Amino acid sequence: MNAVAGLLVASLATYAIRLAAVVAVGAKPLPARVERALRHAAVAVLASFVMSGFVGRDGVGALTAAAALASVAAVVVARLTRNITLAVLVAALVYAATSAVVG
Amino acid sequence: MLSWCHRLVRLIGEPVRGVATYQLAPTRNDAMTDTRHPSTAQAPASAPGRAPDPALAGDRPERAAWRDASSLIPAVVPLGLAMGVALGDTAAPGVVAWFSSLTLMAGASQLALFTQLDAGASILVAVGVVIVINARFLVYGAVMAPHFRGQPRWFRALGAAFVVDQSYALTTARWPGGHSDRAGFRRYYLVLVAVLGLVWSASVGVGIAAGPILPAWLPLEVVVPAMFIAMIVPGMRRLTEVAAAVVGLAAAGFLVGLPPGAEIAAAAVGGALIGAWSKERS
Repeated sequence: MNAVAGLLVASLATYAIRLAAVVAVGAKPLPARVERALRHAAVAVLASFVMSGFVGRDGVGALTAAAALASVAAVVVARLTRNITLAVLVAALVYAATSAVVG
Repeated sequence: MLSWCHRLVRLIGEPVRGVATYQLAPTRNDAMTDTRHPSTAQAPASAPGRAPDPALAGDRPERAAWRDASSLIPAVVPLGLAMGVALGDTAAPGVVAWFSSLTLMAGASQLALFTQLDAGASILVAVGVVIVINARFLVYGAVMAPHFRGQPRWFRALGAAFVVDQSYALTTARWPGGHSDRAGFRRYYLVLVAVLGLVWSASVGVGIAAGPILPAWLPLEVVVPAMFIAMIVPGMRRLTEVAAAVVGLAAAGFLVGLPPGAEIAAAAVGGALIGAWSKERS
């Protein structure tokens, strides 16, 4: 019962956040400075998910050398090819190939 | 069935026509120009019979959306499976946990909601955590707002529900500024979020249902970070954006163990400060 009620309220709240940004915040063009701030904030948030993926939100995991190498590979491939699939696959392959060697 | 398809396509904004004769045909109000961005500045809104949106490179919006969305499938599927396994471990009924992938559409907050409730938190506290984690959608939505401005009310109401990390990254990478064809954008966005939503909810469902028998060799610890890297790196054009990314990495690295969402909030504030401080590139 708690799960259903919690999900209902959380879903409505999340939708309100999304709709408020799209409709209310976006009713008229934002000043260039604010828009730049928002874009940079979004980049930082997405980047935080990269580290969270490694270490976990509870800090149980760790950024290993193999994961760091795989990340560098993903950066290079994504930068050169702009291909997300290829970047992910190359990162996975680099990780698989190096995790046994460098840890 | 066919007539329903035709009505749906008309509702979305594209007159029914054959593929061979395809041409973007905006209505009087179906064009928008953001003069701050060169790709859209090339296509004046009032020009009759103008070329399709340059960001689509002559491609159909649906095809471009499918290509963009499918590029994420190799990463979204394992992420959804892992999320499903984690959700299946909570006390929430499987159907409720799976339904959250449709209504919340945000893995971190889905998991946070049910784990908080499992830990005995009140609904108010659990929802508060979800709001903190999902406050980033305020940033995404504000950046994506030019794409929704001037669109039909139904599209703004529907489209807002699908503002997620992936739809934000893909849309803003393809259209760093605005777009020049509202109907084309609607079709692109709806196909994009439909594919991403289906893949996400299906993966979470499989993870919940078949969690214990999923192979342990899925390299989630690198696939998920690599997906986010590949989503942000191509769109980074300025040194200040690199600095913002470093701040985000540092926030997540140093603020582990704090209440859920703290690292996201810190990253957003740090990135915003860098963006506000940075100067417009000449």
